Amino acid sequence: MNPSRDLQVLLVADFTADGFGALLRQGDEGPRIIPTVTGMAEAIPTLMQPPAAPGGQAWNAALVWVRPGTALPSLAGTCPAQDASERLPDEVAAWADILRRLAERIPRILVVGWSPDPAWLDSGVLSGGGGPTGALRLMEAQVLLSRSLAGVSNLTLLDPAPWIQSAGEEAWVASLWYLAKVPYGPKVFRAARSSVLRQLRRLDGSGPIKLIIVDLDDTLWGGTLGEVGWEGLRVGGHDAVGEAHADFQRSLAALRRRGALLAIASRNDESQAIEALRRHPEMPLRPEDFAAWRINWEDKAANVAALLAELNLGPQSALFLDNDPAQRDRVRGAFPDLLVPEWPDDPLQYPTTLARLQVFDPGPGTSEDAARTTLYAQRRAADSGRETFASLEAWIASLETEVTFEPLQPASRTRALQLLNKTNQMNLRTRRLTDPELTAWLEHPGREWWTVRVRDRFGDAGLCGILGLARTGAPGCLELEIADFVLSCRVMGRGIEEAMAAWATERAAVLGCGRTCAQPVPTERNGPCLAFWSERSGFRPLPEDPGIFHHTGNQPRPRPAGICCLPVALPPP
Amino acid sequence: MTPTDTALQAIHAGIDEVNEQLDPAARLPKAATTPLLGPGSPLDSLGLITFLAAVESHLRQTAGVRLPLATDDRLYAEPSPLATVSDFATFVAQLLESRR
Repeated sequence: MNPSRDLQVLLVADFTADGFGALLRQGDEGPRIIPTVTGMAEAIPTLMQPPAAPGGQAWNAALVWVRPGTALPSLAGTCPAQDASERLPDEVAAWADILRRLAERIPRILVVGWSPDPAWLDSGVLSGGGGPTGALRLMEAQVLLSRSLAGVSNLTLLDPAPWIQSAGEEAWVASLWYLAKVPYGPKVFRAARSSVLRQLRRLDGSGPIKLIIVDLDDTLWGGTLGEVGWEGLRVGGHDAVGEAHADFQRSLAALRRRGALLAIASRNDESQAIEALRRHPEMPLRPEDFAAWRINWEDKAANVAALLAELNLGPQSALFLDNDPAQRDRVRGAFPDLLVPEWPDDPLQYPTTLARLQVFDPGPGTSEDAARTTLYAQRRAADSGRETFASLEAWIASLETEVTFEPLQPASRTRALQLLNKTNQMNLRTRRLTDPELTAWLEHPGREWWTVRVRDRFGDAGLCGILGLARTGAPGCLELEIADFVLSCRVMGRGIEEAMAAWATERAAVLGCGRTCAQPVPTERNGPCLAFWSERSGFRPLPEDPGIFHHTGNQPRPRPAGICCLPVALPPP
Repeated sequence: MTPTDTALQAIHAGIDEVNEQLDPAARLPKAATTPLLGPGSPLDSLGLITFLAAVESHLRQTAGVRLPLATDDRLYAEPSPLATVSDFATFVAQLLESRR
């Protein structure tokens, strides 16, 4: 996120908050915070009579972090007062009144909720023979406060429990408290910073997230649809990964009921994807839960642009979730204002990662919110086709992709056969071979297999492709047939297919072949392969047989820009 | 890992901790001669306590040793072990050695 302006924030705390204020100032996500920190003894007077903001400016927000004993005298000390239950309602009402008046003077108020003092006796117990403990009374006070402030629309109560939980044993550091009156360890303050910055993000004009754009394969569901079919997708069932994906979808469904729009941007076959959403028995989300989708083999950033245009939303209102770091990078680069969080590799983390983003409007939502998706579905606008993103070529170049072609080695044979036998989408002929069958095929003179290894700035993707080549014809009119053209779906659509096609023509030139041919065999799942050969390969259909694509002549196809192909020069035959 | 290595690792962790709160121009380098206390150091009293607490925490987590550094009066004697990173590493290493 790029900050659009500085935010003057009054930080009111009853402890030494200078370090936390410095953390907020140094934060690099969201708007730039200029905190003014009150002295710890001045918290209550400051709340009742806030000072002027520095430089004659207006306050943009106030962050109030006051410990329970300060706001609620009956909970001060290591043990709540005997008559705490009787006094708490009045004390909470008085505190709420102070906050309400502050909210009338400063446009946005964040109030950190109360957490039990680590020095309280009866820690870990809510109630027992002696009646409710301080912790239970604190919960009661929290509920009372929340109800008292329900009508204050510019005030948000933050829950510090996740911050404290994330710090574990380091949540409270005795030396920091007794020497400096800092009640929490640095991990708590770091977690607090993230939450506060996300809340303050709205002051940037961003507002809460209104649109969640999700990828499908290994994001919304487990598995690659084109490889396993909808029946093989991992959603729900007696399967930890499937269960996590189902929980993730249920969270998205809950956000939809609260008014967020859901959309899909996926490189897939649209009809198969919609069928999966419709037919998979465990799928919590169905097609009607999505306001829009772009499911095709186009550039993902282009699809995101189209979705934003269709739904008439700016990128700052949208969130993009994709398990593929390259695609996240693509969308992030094309839309600097669109929130593209890092996404875990482990699907078991998806539900909690979504929850921790804290970029959605809290609350159960209204019936209008729930109907919003339907309204959008009913009045879909035409795609304006605005070019709002950086070029696909520039993004491909930024990946620093390195493609290495090697003759089939014994060490890579097993992996190569696995790839051949399980790849569907980018597979020229979808032929399946056993090891003996491959041996028999390679025994014929003029036949060879090349493996394709891919690495980029995100890491080494390993063996991702296969080129099977067969030289045919008589001397003087030799042809090189591409018998196998296979590429893992993980690296599709980034110029590697073009590199492989160009490589084949280079090999043809070295072998003295005047023509290179490829004859795709259509299947239910290799639509992307057919689309590549007809639209991007640079090969042309034979006039006498349009199902065969050829490149003829002594000059090989040029290698795609932005991709390093190795070796630089082909070995002689 | 030697006690000195352990001490330096913890001190560097402490420097990372305080640097997070400092403007880029004021951040402490992880050099042997970096002053931690006194005229050449950008750390105020809060910064120093934050640094020492972070060193204590790192030693607790990585070496399983509880060293109450922040309340150790020897740090404020003359000459102070906090004069430089190197001096402090020597001090902490001696404490670690004595705990073996």
